[in-house]
Amino acid sequence: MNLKRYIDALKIKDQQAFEAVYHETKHAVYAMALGIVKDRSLAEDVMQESYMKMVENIYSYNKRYKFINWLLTITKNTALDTLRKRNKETSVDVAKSDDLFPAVNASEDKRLEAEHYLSLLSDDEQKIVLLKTVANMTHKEIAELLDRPVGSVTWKYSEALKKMQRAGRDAL
Amino acid sequence: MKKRKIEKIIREDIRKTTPDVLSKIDLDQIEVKKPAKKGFSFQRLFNKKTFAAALSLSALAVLLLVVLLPGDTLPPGPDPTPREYVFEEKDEITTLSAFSAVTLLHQSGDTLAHASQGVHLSLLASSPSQEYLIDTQLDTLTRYLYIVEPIVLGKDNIEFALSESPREDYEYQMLFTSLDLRGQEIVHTLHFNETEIDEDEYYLEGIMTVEGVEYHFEAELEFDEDGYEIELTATHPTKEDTYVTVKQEIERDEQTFEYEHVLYGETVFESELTIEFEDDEIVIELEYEDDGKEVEFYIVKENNDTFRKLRIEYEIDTDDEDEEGVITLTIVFDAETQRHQYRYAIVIEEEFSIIRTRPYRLFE
Repeated sequence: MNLKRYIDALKIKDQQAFEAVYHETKHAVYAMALGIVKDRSLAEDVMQESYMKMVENIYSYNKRYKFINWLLTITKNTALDTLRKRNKETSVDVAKSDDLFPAVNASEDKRLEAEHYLSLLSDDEQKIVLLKTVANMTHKEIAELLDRPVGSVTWKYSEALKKMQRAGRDAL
Repeated sequence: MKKRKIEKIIREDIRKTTPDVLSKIDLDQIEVKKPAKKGFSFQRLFNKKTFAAALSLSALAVLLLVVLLPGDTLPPGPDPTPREYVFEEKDEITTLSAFSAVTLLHQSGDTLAHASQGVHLSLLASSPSQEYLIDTQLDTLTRYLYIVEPIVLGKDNIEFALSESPREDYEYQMLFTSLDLRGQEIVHTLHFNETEIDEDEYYLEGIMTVEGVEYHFEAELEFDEDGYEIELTATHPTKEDTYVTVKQEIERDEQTFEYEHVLYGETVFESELTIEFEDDEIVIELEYEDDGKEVEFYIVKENNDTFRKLRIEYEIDTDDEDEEGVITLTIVFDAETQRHQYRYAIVIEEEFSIIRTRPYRLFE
């Protein structure tokens, strides 16, 4: 969907335009937030704040760029800010916390299968896999968003899939 | 487990658990920041120090541009979607879709997906003589290579020439010239009519001839800001209800072709070809199911690869067994038959090496 058509309506805080943009982007925004903060409750806060910042700063959006990439950049920065604030408050490195994706046994029930697979990956790999699979971004877009070389993103994605495949086989 | 299945699990799980924050956001409470309007001021503009500094910096920037940039090259911009190989003109898009659909239809024979006439196996003396899963798929891969070749060799090796059609029923003639992996030029001719049905929506119909057989095609093409979508159907001239439909879509850096082969009214084969353009390589992914096997090929052409070589990775999954491997594909000339062949050097599971060949029979 072409989201640029909603920009002018967002400038006047049109509820319908906002809802259309929200429903079209919510999974990608959540995936981005979750990939960084690794905590469902925090990711939800980041999501809310990101959409508010999106409306607040809508005039600064440059139509030359893809709207979703701009929104995900806001989400990334909001998530990083949230982490920094939380680290100051708790003196705990949330980035390395095992809250969402701890290394769990595949047989452990009540967990989503996705969580098991993501728990096997490094921090970077988790973000790349989430952006590729949920946000449907290309390697090049992910590289720009995460400020990594494209080759590195491609390689890490491939490695991540191999790790998860091996785990899938072992679990059988 | 297949990679695609894992991707699907993650996608669906995360989508399922995405919280709904819409109700928590009250737009009335948000203050939209409007861009600050800067009043025009001669005083500010001609503030001597500022003006001198700006002038010096501009002069330095211009000097650097002149010295550092070769010829008329512009500095690389932040455009997130470079499209070196993408075909964006509507005639090019239609031609490419028609070419791929007609080429697949022409090769289909009576069995479409499983035609194996003329298969020529050539095992190395040292190679294991057993059959691998890949052996069951090389004919299908070969059929798709004909349509992949012009794309993988890039836009520089393709020419489109549009002119008035000499055929009475058609308005336009398109000469589509491409190189194959042998480095030989191949010319395809299409004749077609075009009707604009709406803004950015077109209906096209025409014919393409391959080895003396004339195929009719019809297409609908629609553009939007993110790319385009075309659905084209090429029909067989003599077999009732036999056709190949291709849906081609471009979005961002990805170009997708979805094919459906229908024989006498029944869908007998479906496949998806995705082309992804990265900075230094082009990756073509071919996916389909065949007789209980899930098959994926990744055809990779790096920019600095030699002309006649492609690297192809593959995965074949069945209920009982999986197989993966890497193929180095080259074009060779067989002195015995005096014809070109595809030569597949295959390393299976990093353990076995085998050589297979297939005749390069189309357009020769």
